[in-house]
Amino acid sequence: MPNVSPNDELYREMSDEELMQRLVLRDLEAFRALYSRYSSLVYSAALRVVRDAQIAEDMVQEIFLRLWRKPESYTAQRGKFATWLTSVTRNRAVDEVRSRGRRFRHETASPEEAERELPGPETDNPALTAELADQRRLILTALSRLPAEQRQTIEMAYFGGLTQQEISERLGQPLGTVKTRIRLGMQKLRAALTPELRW
Amino acid sequence: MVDKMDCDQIRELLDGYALGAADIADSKAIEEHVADCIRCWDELSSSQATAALLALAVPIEDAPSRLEERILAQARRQSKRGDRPPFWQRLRIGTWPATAGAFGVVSVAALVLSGLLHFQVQDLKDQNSDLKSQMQTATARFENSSAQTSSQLADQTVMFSVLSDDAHKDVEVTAASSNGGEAYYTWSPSKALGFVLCDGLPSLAAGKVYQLWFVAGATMYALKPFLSTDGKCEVTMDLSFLDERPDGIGITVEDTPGGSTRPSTPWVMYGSFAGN
Repeated sequence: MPNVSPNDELYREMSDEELMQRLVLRDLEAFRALYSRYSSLVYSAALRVVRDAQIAEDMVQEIFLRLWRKPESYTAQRGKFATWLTSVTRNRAVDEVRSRGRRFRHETASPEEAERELPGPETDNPALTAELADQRRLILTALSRLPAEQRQTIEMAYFGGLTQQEISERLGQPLGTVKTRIRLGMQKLRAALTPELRW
Repeated sequence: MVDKMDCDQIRELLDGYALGAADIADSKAIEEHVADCIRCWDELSSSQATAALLALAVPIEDAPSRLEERILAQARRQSKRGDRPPFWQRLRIGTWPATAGAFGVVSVAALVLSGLLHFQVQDLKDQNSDLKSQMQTATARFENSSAQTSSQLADQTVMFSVLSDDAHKDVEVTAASSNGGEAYYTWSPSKALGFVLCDGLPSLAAGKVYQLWFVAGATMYALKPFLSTDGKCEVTMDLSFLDERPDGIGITVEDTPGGSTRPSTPWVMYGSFAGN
């Protein structure tokens, strides 16, 4: 085992990938640093889907402890760590919603409102905070430029965990229309977010 | 009978699939198609990457402060129980070449496999004490290493040879579903040798085999079929037959005991060599 110094400053300056490498060596300080860096983002991603604070807390616990037990589940080939972690959280949250047979009313706060009301994630690493804020701004801008019906359909699918058929029924629109909205919206998002796609 | 969809039809559906919103019939059609079509597979990867970014756009709320201590306390408890990294992470030891000089390749290769089995046993111990019978089976394999077949020794030699190359590479072979297990492909380009280690593979139905494939453009190179009774695999391969650089490696389930010449089912796992 390496001799781990509980030097907060040192861990704050480490990249996500360096912290994950230390997790493989069972470095609890690295785990604490990752938790400090991303717990709010994971909590928020879970809460956005399950809409229940207690369930979201349980999911934060489950996801971080899984990271601790199986740090090898993340590799750089899976893209940026923050993107991977929030995506894992969203997928787990959708599974939870579906397994409970629950469907939450979809709230369509506009991206502009979301950005104005709530700041981006604060981490203990200023450079990372700035990078995440920039990335978030880019994604929100791309979403805000979509026609409202395309944005709504994508959000219902991604955050609401609804299938295209279910969206069609909820919106009273033909299934083909829903599929087209998703395809066109995602094409525009992909074009706008290409610099962020590192896969 | 519904005709199979072509690439254009499949691409119309990929974004819905990437968002997790495709229905079962569309999902099945997509999975079957991308098993044979690397271009649509790439397109799907791009859609999935775009979808993944959306999660970063959520409004941020602070996690409750009480959570931190609760989670850290659990992590500490798990550490005290001897939680260990997985066996393939612990295999990456830089001292093997020197050891080889002292003991000779074959004997050290035997040590490598014995050590690997030991680690697997330790993992089982760590994960669940109820897996005692599996531990005993693995331990028996370890203790009976003197009775290993020549085929096993050949596999050990290949694994050792790859890992003793400082320039060896590895790539994660990702499961198509969340309960599809884990695998790593490790290879030495200069020695044209490689091996795949798997863990947690789903059980096979009677008469089925797993089969490995290299994908290079539209060409599929059939590799060894294999069985796995315990969810694990150790498959070695000689890469000298490859006359082009593959794009990735995949695993399918096939009906033919000796393996197939083309994948007949969707990927169970796939790893891309992009970036390697």
